[in-house]
Amino acid sequence: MAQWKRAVLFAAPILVAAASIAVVAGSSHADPNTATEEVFPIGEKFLLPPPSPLLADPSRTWDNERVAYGAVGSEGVLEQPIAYSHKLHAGKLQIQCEYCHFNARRSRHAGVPTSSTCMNCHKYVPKDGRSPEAIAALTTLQEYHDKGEPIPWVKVHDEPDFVYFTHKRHVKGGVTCQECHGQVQDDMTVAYRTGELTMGWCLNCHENHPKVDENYGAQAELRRAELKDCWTCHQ
Amino acid sequence: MTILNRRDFMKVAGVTAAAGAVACDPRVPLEKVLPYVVQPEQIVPGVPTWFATQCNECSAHCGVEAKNREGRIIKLEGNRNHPGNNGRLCSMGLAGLQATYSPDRFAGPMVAGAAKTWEEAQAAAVGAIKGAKKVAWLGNSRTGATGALISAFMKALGSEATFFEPMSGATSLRAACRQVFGVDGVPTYELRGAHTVLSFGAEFLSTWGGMDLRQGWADSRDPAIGGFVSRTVCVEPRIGNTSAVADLHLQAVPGSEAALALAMAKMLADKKGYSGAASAALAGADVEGAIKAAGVSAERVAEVVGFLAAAPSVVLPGGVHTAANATALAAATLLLNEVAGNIGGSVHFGQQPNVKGLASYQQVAELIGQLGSTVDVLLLDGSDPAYFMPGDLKAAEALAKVTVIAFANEPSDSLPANAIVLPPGTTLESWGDGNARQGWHTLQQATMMPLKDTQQLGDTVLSLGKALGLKTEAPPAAVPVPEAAAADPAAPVTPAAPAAAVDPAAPVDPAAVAPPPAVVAPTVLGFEAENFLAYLKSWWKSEVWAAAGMPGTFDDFWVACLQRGGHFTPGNAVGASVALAGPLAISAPAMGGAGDMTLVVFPHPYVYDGRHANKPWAQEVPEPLSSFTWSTWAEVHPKTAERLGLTKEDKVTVTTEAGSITVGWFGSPGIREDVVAVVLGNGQENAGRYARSATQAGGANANRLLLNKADDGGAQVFVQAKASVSKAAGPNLHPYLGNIDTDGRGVNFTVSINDLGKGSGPASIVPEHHVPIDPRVVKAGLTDMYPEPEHPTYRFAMAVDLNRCTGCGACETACFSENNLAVVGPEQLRRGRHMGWIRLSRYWEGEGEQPDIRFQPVICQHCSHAPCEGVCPVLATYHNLDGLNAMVYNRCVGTRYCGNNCPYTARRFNYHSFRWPESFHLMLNPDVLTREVGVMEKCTFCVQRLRFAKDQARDNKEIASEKTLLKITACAQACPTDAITFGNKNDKDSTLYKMFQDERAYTMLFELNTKPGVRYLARINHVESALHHGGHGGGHGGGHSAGGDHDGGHGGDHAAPSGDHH
Repeated sequence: MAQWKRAVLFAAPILVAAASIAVVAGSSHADPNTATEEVFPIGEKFLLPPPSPLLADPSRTWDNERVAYGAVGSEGVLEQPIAYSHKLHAGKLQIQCEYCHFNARRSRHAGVPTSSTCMNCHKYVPKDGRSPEAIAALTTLQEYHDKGEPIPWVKVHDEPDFVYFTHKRHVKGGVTCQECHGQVQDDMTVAYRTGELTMGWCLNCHENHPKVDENYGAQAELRRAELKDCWTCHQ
Repeated sequence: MTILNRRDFMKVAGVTAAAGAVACDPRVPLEKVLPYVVQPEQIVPGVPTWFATQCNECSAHCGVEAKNREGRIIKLEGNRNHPGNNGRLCSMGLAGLQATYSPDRFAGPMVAGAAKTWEEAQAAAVGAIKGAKKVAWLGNSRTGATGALISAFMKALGSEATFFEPMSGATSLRAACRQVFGVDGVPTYELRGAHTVLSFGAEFLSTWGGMDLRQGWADSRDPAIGGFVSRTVCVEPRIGNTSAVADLHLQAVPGSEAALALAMAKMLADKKGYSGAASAALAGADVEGAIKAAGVSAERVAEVVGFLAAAPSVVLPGGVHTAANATALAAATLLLNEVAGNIGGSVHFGQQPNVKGLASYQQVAELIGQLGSTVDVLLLDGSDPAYFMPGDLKAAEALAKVTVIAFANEPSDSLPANAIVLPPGTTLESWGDGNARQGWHTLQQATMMPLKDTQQLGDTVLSLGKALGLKTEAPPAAVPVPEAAAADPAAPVTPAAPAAAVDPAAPVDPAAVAPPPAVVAPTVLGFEAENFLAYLKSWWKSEVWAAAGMPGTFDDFWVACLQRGGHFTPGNAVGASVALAGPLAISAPAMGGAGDMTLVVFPHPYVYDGRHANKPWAQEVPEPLSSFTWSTWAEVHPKTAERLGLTKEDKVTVTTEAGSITVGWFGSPGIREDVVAVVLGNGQENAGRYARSATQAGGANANRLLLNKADDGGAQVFVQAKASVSKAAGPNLHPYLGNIDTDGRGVNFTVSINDLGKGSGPASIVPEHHVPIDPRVVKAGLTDMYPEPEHPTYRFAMAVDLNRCTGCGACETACFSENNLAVVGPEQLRRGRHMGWIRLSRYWEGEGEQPDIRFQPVICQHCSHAPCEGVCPVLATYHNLDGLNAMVYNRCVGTRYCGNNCPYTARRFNYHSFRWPESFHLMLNPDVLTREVGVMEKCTFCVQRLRFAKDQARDNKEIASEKTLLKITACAQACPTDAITFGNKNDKDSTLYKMFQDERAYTMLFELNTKPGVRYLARINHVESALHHGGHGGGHGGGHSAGGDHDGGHGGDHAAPSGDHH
């Protein structure tokens, strides 16, 4: 107990000092020369991590944000403009992933299908006899398409900006979509995150994935070393 | 007594960390991902699409490849198919990108400052034109179909278009060609193959002429090409970006160059026994008088004449800063070329720059004078006369008297409050074309959707023409040729030598300048054209396709032209015969006003005549010689500065009869003591925010030091006034580079021409200065504490041939563009917070006639034994398997140890989170992270581009080829003279590897044993051998046996000074 007391007594002044430094650093930053700031804008500067934006901005709620990393499971389903079901399309209907995410083999970005891609089929598939939810979803799709507006999908897999990730190399290397995105064809009505997207999670494969041996043979060790290079993902 | 033990400390730390964690928010805002509605065919999100188009930043119209990512252009690179720039691009061209994303762009059309719809604004313009007595057009150079349309439009209005380039220097040269050869046009200069390049002031490596001159110059200096190293001689009162790389610099009195050139022609004629057609013209030359008046050494002049007599040469005319006898100077240089035997060879009329449509200064000054009296509506296309015309013309007041219809995207000094603004969009957003030379037709295609409510210039002109009910009665393609100047009455043109003096056998492209009307009339559309694209196609069909004689349909041709960026036909060298019968008359120019110095003004290498002042890159990249940024400065000799008692904190006031300005100063050892030089370009009052920032930071309009004076050829007289210089209160914006020389450190070397080929192995002929290492240490292999890192596949490396480097700064601008470098502005620069990853060091080692200025682009050297890596406490920087010194931003905690420990000062620290105005966000490269406050950054060897190349190669299970890597970094890609070579050092067959083994190759600060991945090839000087021993064979591989032969015999070859090596 005495140890705890000592610890608290020791920590309190540090915390107070740190907090005041943070406040001072945060507030004293404003450049007196406002004209300069306007032409050559510079961002805010804090000595410590900035205080919770929740305090600064009451408009921020859990509804329009989410936790940055980690697997969220089926309870972390985000609300999407259209309740698109991977289970139906990729599972029951057996549509290949790359039919819709057609850039996965060609680019960093797998790409989200254009509404014209959706309409390739939905022009011909009748709405009649569907569930009211399905009809509502298809109507929304039709509306976006007719208006010529993109469908504002919400990102489920969102890497931080300082991470470089390319779908192309993974797909070409033979990593299956499901390894990172989960069994979308079996489990997901609306997609959610099953991969953690944390650095350790990525490195686990970069160190151990059997495809490396398969693709590189004698060069596998070298390739593994390259895959563990920081600049592989943080350039 | 209890002390805090380790366990307690951990608990305390844990509590603190937990408190920190509470303060942090693990949540991030949700991001949207918006797909296309219909996927455009060529676009794959994440993969760039390249469009060939043209550059409009100066009148050279180089070819450009624009990199489009997801619908916006993020980088410009040179078009590899264009014969003028061969894939390279200069600083001005690279910065052209910023015009599109400028935060100061007008949102849409305006009338008297109020936003209007296009219909309303055009109706206002039509109303103004209808009610006008006379309408005039003043704009930058427009050629090709664009120029033809504008000319037709103005002709239909009973007027003519005035296309004006204030800094082209073409007026005098054209007048001189008419005088000497009876040819209406200007010659093409071919520097490749010339053993001596003699310039009388033309900044052919910076602001004068096209990029082919720079490339030709670099090739002529490269011993690997043609087996010789050319000698560059500059006759100029100051040292500019061109004379900086001269082997010989004759500091002639301003205005005396013309007589000197003629004297040299006479000397050369006597030496060679020349008795050709130019003999008569040389009769009046007063050799001794001219040399004396120029204040140069007679021996040096004789030496230069000796070079001209001995080997092929090229003589370039005066540049922009010429005196009242500019025409005579240009004529004298042409005569000198004639006597040297260059006409029809290195100087020819086969592929002339298209300057016939350009108006002279005189005409523009007259036009300004007519404003408010005979002219009451002025169409203004990109020109800024209120800024660049001399103060006594009162151009701003004249503009206020008329209705200005401005095709402007941004504010400028030449936009009166009541102007009708019809924004034409930028080069990247609109169609157009250019015809910079005979046979060179460049096509400008719209490469992205307009960001603002704009309408391309051609469409606006067409719709104005339709609304006014104009008819094209004459072939629109015939660009009216403003008769620039009646030829000098003192030296009459021989009537027997009309324009036909151009060799009739020449394959002159009939479409180039003045096509025969018979071919044109039937097919070129008039104002009935549906839109400008239709007009453009019809013009190209009749003018270019008809003459090209290509198989296939026009549509095939058109598509091929769009892919290539234009249609280019090679030209032949065409000679001309001297038509000047009498002696060339040269008058000594009078300098107006009082004062003990002569004023010379010169264009800024990046801001140019002021048209690029609102581009932050043009301002932020330090000017190569003075290293000034964001301001105007005056150059004076250090002795003058001493006389005036100037300190670094002071400014100077330069006063002429026209006015005075107070600016910063730079002590240039290469300027005459009786000359003060002031840079043009900055000092706008009402232009965009960056131009105004430069004005606030110390910019002043040097045009205000000049009076309205034109020479007999109609060109502006820039060297016209005596000036007095006095000390003024500062602060002077500190130049970016502090030191003027190397202080004897081992960073930059030159080698003597006489030592070439005498060494074997890297640095074997470089007079390196380094700490001798005990040979016993070398023998025992104890020079390295750690083993050499392994590079199993690639060892990316760079070689910079300083012999080809002109210090133009294109690499720096390219780096800003590629790597999202922050523009910090003058205030932060004053505190030394420049964020450029390339520092263009300039070392001023020589003085007098042999300036020996050494440019050296310094980037992260990607050392194998990097001093920065060992000191990073968090392993944020390390050496990777590709040989790159990697920097992981998200790992960096900002201790700055690495920056302190870098002997090359290659690292930059983010003192702030430098941001961009919102509009520039669209310009950022999405493949490169933007850096936050507290993070170190530095050159990455463009790892994102390397990754792209490796990725492509991996698709084929290969490693990136030499061809892919050769120019892969942004700096190597841009370098106008191909000075930078990139590659994989592991590839023993690569160009890079060969350059690394070159006898001139050295590493910076070799004695530190950092084993850099960058080697420099020393500049070759035409001086006697500087080696004090016969090469020290050790080289860079393995242990350097420097100590061993340092005491060796001084067997170096001390060849005769400045002996001819050919």
